[in-house]
Amino acid sequence: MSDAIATGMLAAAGIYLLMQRGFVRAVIGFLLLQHAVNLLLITARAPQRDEAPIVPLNTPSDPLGQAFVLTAIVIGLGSVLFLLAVALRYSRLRNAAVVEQHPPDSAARSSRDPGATGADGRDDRADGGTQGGDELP
Amino acid sequence: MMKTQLLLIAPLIAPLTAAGIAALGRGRRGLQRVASTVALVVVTGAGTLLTLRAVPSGVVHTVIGSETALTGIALTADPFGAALVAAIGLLTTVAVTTTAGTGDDHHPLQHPLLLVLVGGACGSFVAGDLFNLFVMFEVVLIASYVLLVLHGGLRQFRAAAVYVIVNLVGTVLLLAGIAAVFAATGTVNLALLAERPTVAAGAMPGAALVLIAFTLKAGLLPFSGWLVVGYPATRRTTMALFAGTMTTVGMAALYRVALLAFGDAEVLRTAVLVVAVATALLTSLAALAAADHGRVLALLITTQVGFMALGFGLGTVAGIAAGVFFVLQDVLVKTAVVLAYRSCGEHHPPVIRGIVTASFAVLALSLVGFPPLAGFVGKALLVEAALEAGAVVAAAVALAASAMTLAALLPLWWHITGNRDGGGEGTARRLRPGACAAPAAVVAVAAVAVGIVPGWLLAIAGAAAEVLADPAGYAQEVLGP
Repeated sequence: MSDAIATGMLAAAGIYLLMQRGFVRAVIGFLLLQHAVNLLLITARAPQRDEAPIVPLNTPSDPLGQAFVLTAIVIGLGSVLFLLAVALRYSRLRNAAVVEQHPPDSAARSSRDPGATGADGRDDRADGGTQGGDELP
Repeated sequence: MMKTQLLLIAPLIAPLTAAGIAALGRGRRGLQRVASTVALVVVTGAGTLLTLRAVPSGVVHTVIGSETALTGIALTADPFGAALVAAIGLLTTVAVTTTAGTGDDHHPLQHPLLLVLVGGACGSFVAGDLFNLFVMFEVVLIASYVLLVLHGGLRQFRAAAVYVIVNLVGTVLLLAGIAAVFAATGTVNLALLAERPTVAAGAMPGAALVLIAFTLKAGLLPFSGWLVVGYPATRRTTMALFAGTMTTVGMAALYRVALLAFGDAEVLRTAVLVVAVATALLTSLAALAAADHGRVLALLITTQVGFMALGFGLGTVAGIAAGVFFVLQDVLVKTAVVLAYRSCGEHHPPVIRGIVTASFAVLALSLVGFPPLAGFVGKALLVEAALEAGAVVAAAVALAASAMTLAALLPLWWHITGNRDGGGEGTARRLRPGACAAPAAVVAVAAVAVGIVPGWLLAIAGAAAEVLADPAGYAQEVLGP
């Protein structure tokens, strides 16, 4: 019962975070969702749940579920690390683009018709005015 | 016995070993190309031998690491999986040749990643249980994530964000489905699942989750956004490789797992049929409206996925055979269309330009389904099977989607005959025109040949359909009496 509630809460929190706009928030959401599923895998090997997978003690429990979870955790961790690397690189690229494009922009604004530059101001180059550094469309 | 084991492991081990070698030999492009070539020859050869064995005998299978299928790693190759291994070997060879020709493999990690992708794809085609399938999916996906952002500009990273998140959610769904199936039936082995009833064991929710994850990976409609956003952002040859492998991995899993393990779940098949019809119709409509040519190609790839899933959705032996035939010819044609389109350009000498244009024309017509090309045979079989099964709407949509595919391809044709650049992200540095044009031309000739003499491929498809439509026979074959 308690594991079912824990799984449900982890999944709900994960999905809520995935629905948010920020990329890092989505990564954390994915992490929580991954843990919800790990818990699900552990509880899936239902019959001899409480026993350790050791043969001489009592009825050997099925080691398959534990092997699954181990693999799933490793893969999930790798995916999260990759996602964080993507987030980091993206924010650097974005900042670099802002630095590169700023001087010609401001030069154009001061020298030429000031009315025309309003439409393609500095937020447009990121395709749709994102605010936080970690946000992706 | 030993030889069977070797044949089944080779498509997995050869690319991964070569990937290691290529990763160690970073900066030596000659070495990397040799490693890729050797690995791909091994994959294609092993796939061909497996197909030759599986077509008469039904299933080629082995267990690694243990004596019984319960505790070891089960590898099983039905005719479909075996033929797909060979097809992936061929299409990667085609893509790698073009990559080398355009100089797109200048990044030291291009070859290793590509080989990992191939290894994972082959592994997923011969995986004998659900969990190994999941692991292989991850191998393919992680390699593809990195390939996507390898030459990363802002656009690539923005596309990768959508691509990665959607696919990871798919992975989580798959894992949850596997857990639910495991809880209900106590096993994840395909043969054991084939033996046991799905509905009566209460494994339906799990089976549905697994199927949703597969349709997501295959790029069927509610989930095709990642494909349409992700593919156009890739470099020219990477997109071709993705077009051939990524959706095929999901589609092959759909056919193999859903038919064998959850064969008695009629409801799920019907749901997939509806989704497939909607995909074919709506994505071809969207392709008509799309302005960006990369987007048109991505949407048309999704349309083809709809056709592929049609055969599965019908569920009859004729439908499955038609679907298998369609998948096997389509992976190569799709890859070559993208290659031909993206390797065109004004920097080629006139003869090469002519060859590229001609092969694009042939391949595009095969995609549409003109006789006497391979695509025509595939679509004709599908429509016939749909009419036979009483799915008149599906048949009508298939015809309409084909017509819209033709219309959507016309702007690309005008573009390519106008001798403009293929719109890839790459530059024209160190171009070898021969290597750019030859692979697509070879596939174009093959498409004509298969269209005129389809008998051998039909035999493979027929054998595959017989295995896939008979889960009990499959279980008996793999588990022994």
